[in-house]
Parts: sequence; structure tokens; C-alpha cells
Amino acid sequence: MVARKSLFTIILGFVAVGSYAYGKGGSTSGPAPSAEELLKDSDRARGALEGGISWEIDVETFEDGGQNKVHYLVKVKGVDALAEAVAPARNKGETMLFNDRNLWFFKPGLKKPVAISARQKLMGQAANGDIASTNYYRDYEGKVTGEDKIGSADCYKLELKAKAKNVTYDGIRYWISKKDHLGLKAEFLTVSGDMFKSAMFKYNNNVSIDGKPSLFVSEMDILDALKQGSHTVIKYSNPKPESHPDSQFNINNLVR
Amino acid sequence: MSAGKWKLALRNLSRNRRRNFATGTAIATGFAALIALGGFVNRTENHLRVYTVYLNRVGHINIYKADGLDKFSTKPRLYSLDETDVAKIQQVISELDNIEIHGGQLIGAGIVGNGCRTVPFVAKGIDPKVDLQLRNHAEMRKWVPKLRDFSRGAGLWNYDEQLGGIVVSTGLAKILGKTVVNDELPKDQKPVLVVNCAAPDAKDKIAADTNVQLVAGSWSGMMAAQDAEIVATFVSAIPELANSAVETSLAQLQRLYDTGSVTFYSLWLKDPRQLKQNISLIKDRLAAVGLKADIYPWMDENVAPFYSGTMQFVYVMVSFITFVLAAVVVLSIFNSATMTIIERSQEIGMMRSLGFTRKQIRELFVMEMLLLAAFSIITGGIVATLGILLVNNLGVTYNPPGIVGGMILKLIPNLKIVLQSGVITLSLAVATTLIAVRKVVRTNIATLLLGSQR
Amino acid sequence: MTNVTKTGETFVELKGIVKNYRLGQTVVSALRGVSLQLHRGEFTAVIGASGSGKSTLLNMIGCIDDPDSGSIKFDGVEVTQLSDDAKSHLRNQKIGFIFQSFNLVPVLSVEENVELPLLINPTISVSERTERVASALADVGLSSFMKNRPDQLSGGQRQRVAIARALAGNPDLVLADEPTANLDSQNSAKIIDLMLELNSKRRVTFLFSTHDANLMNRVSRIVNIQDGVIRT
Repeated sequence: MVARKSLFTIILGFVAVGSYAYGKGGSTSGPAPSAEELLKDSDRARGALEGGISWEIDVETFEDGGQNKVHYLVKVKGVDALAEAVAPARNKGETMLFNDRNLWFFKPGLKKPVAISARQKLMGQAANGDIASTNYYRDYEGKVTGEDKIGSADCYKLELKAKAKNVTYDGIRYWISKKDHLGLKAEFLTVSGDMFKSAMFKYNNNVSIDGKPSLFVSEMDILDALKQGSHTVIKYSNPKPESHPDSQFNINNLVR
Repeated sequence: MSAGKWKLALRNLSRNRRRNFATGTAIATGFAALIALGGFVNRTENHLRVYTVYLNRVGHINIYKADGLDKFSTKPRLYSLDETDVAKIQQVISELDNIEIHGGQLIGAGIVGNGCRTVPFVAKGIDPKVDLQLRNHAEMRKWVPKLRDFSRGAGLWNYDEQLGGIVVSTGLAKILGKTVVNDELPKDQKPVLVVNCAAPDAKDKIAADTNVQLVAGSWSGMMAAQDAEIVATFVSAIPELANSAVETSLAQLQRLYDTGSVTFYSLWLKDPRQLKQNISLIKDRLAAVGLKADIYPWMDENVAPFYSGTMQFVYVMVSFITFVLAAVVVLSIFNSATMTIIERSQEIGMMRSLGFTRKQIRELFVMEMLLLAAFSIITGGIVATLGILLVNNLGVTYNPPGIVGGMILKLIPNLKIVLQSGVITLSLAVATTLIAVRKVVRTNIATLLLGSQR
Repeated sequence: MTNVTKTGETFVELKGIVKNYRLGQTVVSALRGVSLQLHRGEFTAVIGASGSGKSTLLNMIGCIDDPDSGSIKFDGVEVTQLSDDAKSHLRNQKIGFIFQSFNLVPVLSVEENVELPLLINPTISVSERTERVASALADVGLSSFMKNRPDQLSGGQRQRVAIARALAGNPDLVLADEPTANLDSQNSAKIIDLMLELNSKRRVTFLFSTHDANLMNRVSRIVNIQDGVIRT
């Protein structure tokens, strides 16, 4: 079976992770937060906004000595998300649409959209599709298993276990910063508990929400544990609050 | 002299008719069973061979990029044959006159959707013209006449490349809810968009067209998708692929994966008996043109695990049955020969007295057994012919391991098998007789004359 | 084929023949240093009690058993040194055998039984074979029984067939082990008469074992053997 990393899945990762990072300044003191709190905070920090947001990403893939770069526009509203390729020309118009956990893929000229289930997001290369599930609090049972450092940042280390069968991963190891409650590192696990992919996050973007500046993810570096030398870098830019009509997230409108 | 000895051997056979009848029956049954078993193996082997080589398109010779067989699936771009490689192969084979058909093949996986759901597929792409030649090959007509037909529809070579035709396994068509193939649609039929997959009429809408979408990660790291129309369905003989097999044109699959390369390049020979010589020649010539390649013959378990595994099972089973049959025949002959020798020890002594050498005595008994075996073989041959006719007309379906839908039980022996079975039976008869008579010819003549040598 | 025979010439010579048999733990001495010469044209009876070594002596001369020690020369050839095949050849070409129990092949006709030793003699053509069989059967008076099977003949007739078989190869020597033991006195006499007649007519040397006292006065030479030793 040909297993390929696809930009598509990476974008899903972005949709999930690229999000507002609500400042949690000053919260490092006091009693340690529960796993639920941490997940809720990080989930909220991952774009679960009523009003809507948009940003742009460059997804660069390095594999087998080859390299690819595609530019996307991303729109998020609540549990819905839309990513549309704008460059290069050959990929223009390719669209991925998230309706909650349901994912659709479409490109101009295709007669019908393609429905992709949570598990199929893992198809091909060990994709990071389910990172798009923006609600770890909803999908995973979390447990703080310890503390760790990612770079110089103190983090809580969490173990997440799938609550339902229709989520992408069986398990995730997740490092959330103590200071900002930002997800700094994630390891995605197979059913047997082996890591097949990991991701590191940087938060050098700023976005203004209700007049308050907040940190926003600026880079996600995904390493494939199974394929040496295969990695993907997603660079995020121009995040801004934006309201989107619901019709944008309707698959039928997309096809027509 | 020889005629006289044959006459004597023939007369001796008339001595103990009941015993000889029993021995003859054992030999005849053994021979008939060998022919039937041989017919079974021949039929199964040819069925699987032709299925593998022509229908499943594992060419007699398959050329992969060095290490390509193992590593293509994880690093297709590095371990596939690109256009330059293919050109080199084509240049090399253009100088050979034993190549009947040749073509590159691409293997790929992905998901296929009907607008509402998607399921995994494993696709093979080949030039439809090559596919046509393979499907119409005389070997296919002879050994798998039914399998070469599609369950529904017609082969890819009948359609314009623009259509994006695909052939899918019946299991996959069912999972995708497709009940018709392209030719069965009204001419003006357009793809039916299912707006609400949960609606009661969604199933009918899905079934109303043959349009599906193939989705895969392209070799350049992109998510890729293509429209495809189901033009035919077929029964996959490989259980693992019963619900996921897709056949497309090479060009279509190459478009999906955004490549001009092929997974491997296959050659079909005019005379497969020259396989080894051809492989060695091609290996040398590919090395000479600077292509590092691995070459696999069609029966290699790496490229045809289904054939190799099933035939190993068949051979083990048949060897065991043959062993049991041989044991029964050998014991029967040994018992008969021993009894005869005991009864005739005094006579053997008399013949030795008259000047018969040990060798001549051995010959005499071997001649007797040869006559009995020959007669039994003729009888066994007739019984086998009648039995095979009966079995072949019953049309019984059986299920060899790994063959979806089973095979119709047919026994197709050929002259080689009959001759081999005959030689095996005669050899067993001669060898057993020689063992049985071994002791008596070594016994002192005076002792033999007393009639109490055993 | 014609035998160049010279009456009275010694052509078989035994010297110091010893033969022991092992019966379980016991060793039985069948022949204890027997020396004997046979001359062409003789009609010799070997007499002695049961177990005296008569049959063993005949077996030694007929090359169907090997002595433990001693020398047997047949036409000057030391037969104890010959291979099994060579001895078979010698038996076929030079010795005829007549057995107490006739030993005919039941599935063969009278003429086929007589033909049996000729089948393995490559020097004899098919036509000569036919001639020899006819001549031997004529000599024993069974020409009209050629096509009969042995089980259609009387005991005396069967032994005549056996004699014809022994003679068909034109042997130098005919060995007969108790040829009349299975016959009544009348048939026994006829067989001895026949053997005498053939001895005289064909100049064939006869050596036979018997314990029939009635035959003693009809033979040219008697070899008396007792406890494995020849008594003169």
C-alpha cells in the first residue's frame, strides 16, 4: 500500500492546533489545574470560537529528497473549518471542509466531494488528520501524569485516551505549558501505544480578540517516527478574527 | 529365449488368480488414483499459474528497481522505475525475440468514495492494450475461461481514457452501493449528487450512477483525487482484495499519484520454458545499460505468494496421498510376491538346477510382475478415464485455500502425467518384486529344492 | 550339438570332499573326505541308508551345493572356484537333473517343460529347440502327450517328462536323486529300463541315488556311501 504524507492532513492539523492562545498569565502559582481544565483551556486556545477566525498557512513537506509547498487560506467557525489551497496553481481550489468530526475533500472538476472518516485521516502516511478534532476535552480522557520541560518551558505532561471509536488516535501524549496552557508538544500513538508521529509547536503570532492581544501558533513541525527524514513544517501567518456565514461550511454549497 | 520367458511369466500368472486379481486391483487402483491426483494437481497448477501470470498480471519476468519490491510501498519515488528506466528496459527487451507481451504496472492504494462514504482500495494500473492481450491469451481461454470474463461490464480497452474507467471487485462495488456498470446506464445519465446521505433515497441515488472518486496521497506529497467511472466488476480470487481491488489504466493511476513512473515492468514470454535463460540474459543486459534492478520470476513467492502458498499446500497434500497410495501398492505387491516365492521355492531350486542364473530368476519374477502391472495399468487407465469423466461432469465446487468462490472440481491429466504415473507404478512394482525375490535368489539351491527355504 | 565322448574316460573327479551342515547347535557331517571319479558312459548307482550323504554327494557333483573343502573337477575344470553364473552355465550345458518329486512346472505343457532348460541356452536356435524337445520326448515315449499338462499324466509319465527335460540339453551327465522313490515297483522298473536304454543309446553318463535293492544288479557300478564315507 502506498503510504504518503499529504498536505491535506497536515492542514487538518493546523486547523486543530492553530488557534487563539488565551493568555493565562499569572496562573503559574496556586493549586495545579486538573487535566480537564488544561484540556478545556488548550481546546479553547485551539480555536473553539463562536465568532470565527481566519489565517493563512504555508505547508512545506520534505520527503524522499523531494519538497513541496502549498499555501492555504483557513476559516474556522466553532466546530466547522474550511481550508482552501490558493497556490500553487495546480492545487488551487482544493478544499477541505470540517463539519465537526466529518471531513470532506473537494477539488474543482471533481463530480462529487469525498467523505473521509476519522480513521481514514490516518490513511497513507501516518497522517495527523485528527489533530483537526479541535476538542480534546470532548474526545479524550485526560490524565496529568507528571511535569516536564519542553525547551525552557515548564509543562504538564498529559496522557490522553480516546473516549470514542470515531476519533483519529487511540492515544496522545500532550505537553501543555504551565504558564500559558499552550500545547507545546504532542506525540500520537498507535493502538499498541507506539508513537508514530510527533509535533512541536511555536507561538510567535499575535492576534487581537476583543481588543486583547493573545498568542497564536506560528509554527508546527511534524516528524514522522516511522519514516526517517520525512517531516513537514507548517508556518502560520495573518491570523485575524473574522465572521463567516454558515453557508461557507455547507458541503453542498461547496460542490455547486 | 525372451519370448519363451515372457510366455512362462504369463503362464505363471495364471497360477493363483485370486491373489493376482487382488494385487492387480491394488495396482490398478493406485494407478487410477495417481492419474486422478495428477489431473487434480495439473488442473490446479495451471489454473493458478494462468490466473497469476495472465489475469493477475504477474509477468513471467518482473523487473523492479533494486530493492523496489520491499521499499516501494514506503518510498515509491525512490524505488520505482521512472521513464528513463523503462526506456532502458524497453531497449533491452527489443533485442530479445522471446517476449510476447510487455508493459509497466503501477500499484497504489487510497480511498474511494461514492459521495457519502469512502473505503480503502488497492489499485493496479496497466496499459489497457496490454490487459486486452493478456485477457485474450490462449492460456486464459484454456485454463480460466470463466475467470477471464467480467462479472458485469467490459474491459478498460473499450473506453476512452477521458472517461476515467475503472474495474472494481464485486465486493467493493457492493460496499460502494454500485449496482450497475457504465454500459448499463442511460446514455444521458449524469452523476447524481447525494445532498443528504442520511435521506431514505440516498441509497438509490448512489446506485443510480457509476461515478466514484479515487483519493490518495500523491508521490509529491499532495492529497489527490480523481473522478472515476465503474465500467466493469470482477470476482477477485484473492480474499484479501475481495472488497478493495481496483484496476485502472496505467495513465489514470499515474495521474492520481502525479508520477510517470511504474512500480515494476512485466514481461510475458512466448516460450516460458526459456525463463531462466531469459532472466539471466536480461539481468546482464540491464546491468550493461546501467539499470540496477531486481528481477523476479512469476512463481517467486515474493511476487506470487498466492500461487506459491497454494501450490505448496497442494503438493504437500498430494505427496502425502501419493505416499499412502504407494505404500498400499508396495505392500500389496510385496505380500503377493512373497507368497508366490514361498510357494515356488522348490520350483525356483529346480530352475536354478537347470541352469537359470540368479539374474534370470529375478527377471522371471519381474516379468511376471510387469505383465500383471501392465494389465492392471490398462485397467486402471480405463477406470481413471471413466472416473474423471464422471467427476468432471458432476461440476462439484470445492474450496482450495485462498480462492474466493471456490473452483469447479475438474481433473485434467495430460499425457505426461499418465506416463509418469505409469512409470511410477511400474517402478514400484519392479522395485518391490526385486526386494521380495532378493533373498530367494541368494538361497542355496539344495535348500530351495527341499522346498523349505523360508 | 554333439558331445565328443570317449567311453571310460574320467571326466568328473572329486577329491577329499567335506560337507558339514549346522542344525541348531549341532554340526552334522554329511560328507567326510569323499573322493570319487566318474567315467563317461557309466551307469552308476549311489546307495546308502537315509542320511548317509547320497543326496549331498549328488548335489556336490551337480554344482548345486558347495563343499566346505575338497576339490571337484568337471572336464578338468575346478568347479569350486567358479562363480555362481559359471556354475549355472555348467549345469545348463553339461548336467541334467531328475528329481524324486519330478519338479515339473504345472502351468507348462509337457513340451514346454522339456523346453525349459533350452530357453536359457543362447546357442540353441528355436528350430533346434523344437527338434531336441521332440527327440527327447520320442526317446521317453511321450510324443503323443506333448500338449498335455503334468496334472494330466501318471506318476511314471511325469518322471519320463523329467527325464526328457534332463536329456534335452544333451548333457554329459545326468544326476537323478531317488528317481523311483515316488513310483510303484512296476513304474520304477520301467524308469530304470528307460534310463539304461538312454545310457546305451545316447552314451550319457547316469549317476543316481537309490536304496532300491532291486536295481543293484542292473547297474554297471555301485558306490556305497555310509555316514559320509564311500565304502568299496
